[in-house]
Amino acid sequence: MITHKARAVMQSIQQLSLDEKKYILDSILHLPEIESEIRDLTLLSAQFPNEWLAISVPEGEDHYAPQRGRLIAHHRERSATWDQVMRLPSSQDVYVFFTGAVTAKGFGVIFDDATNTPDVATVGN
Amino acid sequence: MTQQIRLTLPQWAIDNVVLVNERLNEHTTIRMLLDTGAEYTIITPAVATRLGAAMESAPRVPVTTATRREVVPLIQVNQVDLHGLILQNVECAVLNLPDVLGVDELRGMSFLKRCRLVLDLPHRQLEIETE
Repeated sequence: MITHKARAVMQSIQQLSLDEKKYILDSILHLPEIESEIRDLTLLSAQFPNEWLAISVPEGEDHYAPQRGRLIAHHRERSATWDQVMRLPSSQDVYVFFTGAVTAKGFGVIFDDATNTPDVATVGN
Repeated sequence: MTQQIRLTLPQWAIDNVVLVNERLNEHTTIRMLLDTGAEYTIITPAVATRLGAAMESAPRVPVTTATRREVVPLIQVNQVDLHGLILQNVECAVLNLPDVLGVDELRGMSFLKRCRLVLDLPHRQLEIETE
């Protein structure tokens, strides 16, 4: 049954421009998708093992340790995930992390100081 | 002003190394590896770009990695937020880190020398205090 309220909404929509109508139609069509986008990060990590994930952090989440978020990108290569992040405004809250184990063994960096006596920064063995 | 935080680290954060989430310039949260062996903090070029760092005009610092010697930008990150402990203008070298490392940042002594650090791994406790 079409209610009076629904008819009133339709009449309002008919007065809008084509772009405004398109925006409303797109929003309605993607409503279930938008709601389902917020996912548990533990499940996302299990779904994409050993990948770099970029997550949009929704309102209300602990920004230091979010438990849920919208998946922006996932890829085995760090650069591919960050490429997607770069397209977002810098004011959007983003959390980027690797879902696999951190294996720092064997990685080393040496900083050469002014007296040419290097300080060695070694991670792991 | 003294700032102090006390965290219970999740299990994933202490498997092989010590990892801590941190927020950079308010909107970018990444995992960093606590590295007392590193003189500088290292972040990847992708993170530096996201933070809007002007890498072309930044001073350079020479470094030697496992594979080659190179000169990399040394930038200042406006704000580092470690679970509410906030430091301003933190020096970071910008360097590609291997994907296999699994982090976008090594948090080195340029940051840690400004902190009192207590790490209790059996109890997964991390305490950081700055003056």
